[in-house]
Amino acid sequence: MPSIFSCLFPQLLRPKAPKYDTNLMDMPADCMNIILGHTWFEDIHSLRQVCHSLRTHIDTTNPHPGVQFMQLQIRIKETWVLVNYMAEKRMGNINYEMKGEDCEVTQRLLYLVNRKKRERKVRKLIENQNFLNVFFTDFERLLKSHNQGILGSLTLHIAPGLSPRIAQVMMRALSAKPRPLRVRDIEIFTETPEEFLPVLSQLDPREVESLTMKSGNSGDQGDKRTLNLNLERWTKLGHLEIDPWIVDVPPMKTFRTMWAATLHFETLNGEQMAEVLEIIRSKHRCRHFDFTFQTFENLEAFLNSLHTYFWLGRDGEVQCFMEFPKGQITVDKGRNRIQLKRDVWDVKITGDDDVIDWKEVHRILPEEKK
Amino acid sequence: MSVEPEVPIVQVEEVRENPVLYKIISSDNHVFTISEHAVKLSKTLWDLITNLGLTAENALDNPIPVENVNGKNMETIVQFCERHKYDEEEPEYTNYIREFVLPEWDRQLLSIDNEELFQLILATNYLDIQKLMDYCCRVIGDMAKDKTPEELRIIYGIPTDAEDDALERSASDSPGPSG
Repeated sequence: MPSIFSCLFPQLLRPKAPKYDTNLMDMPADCMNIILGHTWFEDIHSLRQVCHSLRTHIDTTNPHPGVQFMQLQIRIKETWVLVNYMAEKRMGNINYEMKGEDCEVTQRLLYLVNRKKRERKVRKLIENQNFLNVFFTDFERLLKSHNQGILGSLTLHIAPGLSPRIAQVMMRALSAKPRPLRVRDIEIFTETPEEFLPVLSQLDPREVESLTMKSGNSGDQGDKRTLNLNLERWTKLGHLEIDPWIVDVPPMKTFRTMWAATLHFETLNGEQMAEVLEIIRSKHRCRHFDFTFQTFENLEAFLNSLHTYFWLGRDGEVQCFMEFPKGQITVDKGRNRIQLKRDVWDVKITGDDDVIDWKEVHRILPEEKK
Repeated sequence: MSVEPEVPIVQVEEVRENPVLYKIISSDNHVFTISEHAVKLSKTLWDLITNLGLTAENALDNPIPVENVNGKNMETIVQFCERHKYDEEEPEYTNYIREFVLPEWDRQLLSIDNEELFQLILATNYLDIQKLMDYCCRVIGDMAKDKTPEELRIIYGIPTDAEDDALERSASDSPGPSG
């Protein structure tokens, strides 16, 4: 009979489970592991609360040694972290938010049951815990537990100042994995890309098809660095978008699958730039380019070194988008020519036969530059 | 004018592809007939058949007793094995999306109450039928979706810790077989 003060003893009010001759706890350990392996990792915290025995089993066997994510997008700000993920037949997000000295974690899960959308939302306040520490613990676990399937895309948006810690956590988790993590598309927005070069080296280089590394602050023209990004073994790389600080010419010769490239040529001389373009264009049939020239000398050197300059304008298949430095160039569309000057206005040019006459560009260059 | 009798498709397949049949006796003395391809899905039964040296000639004369599986579970298992006997081996998951699909026919077959399902898992575990084990565990695992701990305890028939302790106490208090 329930106690009068049953509110103090909630276990006395718990409904009785039907008496099964055989229940979940009678399963042999192997069967239990398979059953728990078929649950979602989001449900494990509920299962752990069912009874002591089940909790002990879960804690000692780790029923989800391999979680398969299809997409993982993480946005890290000064006061909150948002993790969006897509896993088998469901998508969810977890938000870690600073609440004074505490951390509030909100989990939201969307899934389909018989084609009907279902949603689950759980909120929990973790007292006296920094939100970043809570996130780092989960993030490390998440990377460690990702199975051998391919993570479709990994995107990181990192607020200034936090990159070193993120990279450190990633390095620790990835280096502990028996096999390198397989990721198809990587996007990292950070002000310190050099922190992530060791992280990239921990990934399976044969799986990456797209790499984007950018400063989150696009208008920032300040501190620029040149980094050596060794892409020699990245045999599937098809799309590369890198900011000025990352340029490494020799390994680019090894690319075989490049279809698009966004390159910033601030740190290369003209010959190097031409070499890179020629490699990408002729050997890899790349058909989409996005170039940025930071200085007039940079562009001038490029044009001078581009011995096969005509293809840019003459090849109908090539789409060329060029962003020229402010005050360095003029365009006269009507006369089908561009002019290089030191003190004219900023302009963007879409390069095809209708707009740019590359022979003309070449002709108007100073004689000694030809 | 003679009319050819209709022959069930299953029988035609059996005659055409493999006429060898085996007899299995469940713990409650129900007798089941199972084809060679189907029985191969159970590692335990196939090892037993191989060790006993049963052949096409003497298979039906030597029924195999299975003490740990009752007739109800054996019926489900035989149905499952006959259904899946020609399935190709599934390739290892190497793809981008690792998706587990439980076919509708199997979902219907496993639409039984939870206690029976647990007993079927024990039987499947004993007979070592990997695919059926995976399907049963999937059905059980799917039940955990979006449930509170209390709901899970009821679904899975798990006694509370207090009930469990009480059961243990009463078991230890009661005199043993010698006492």
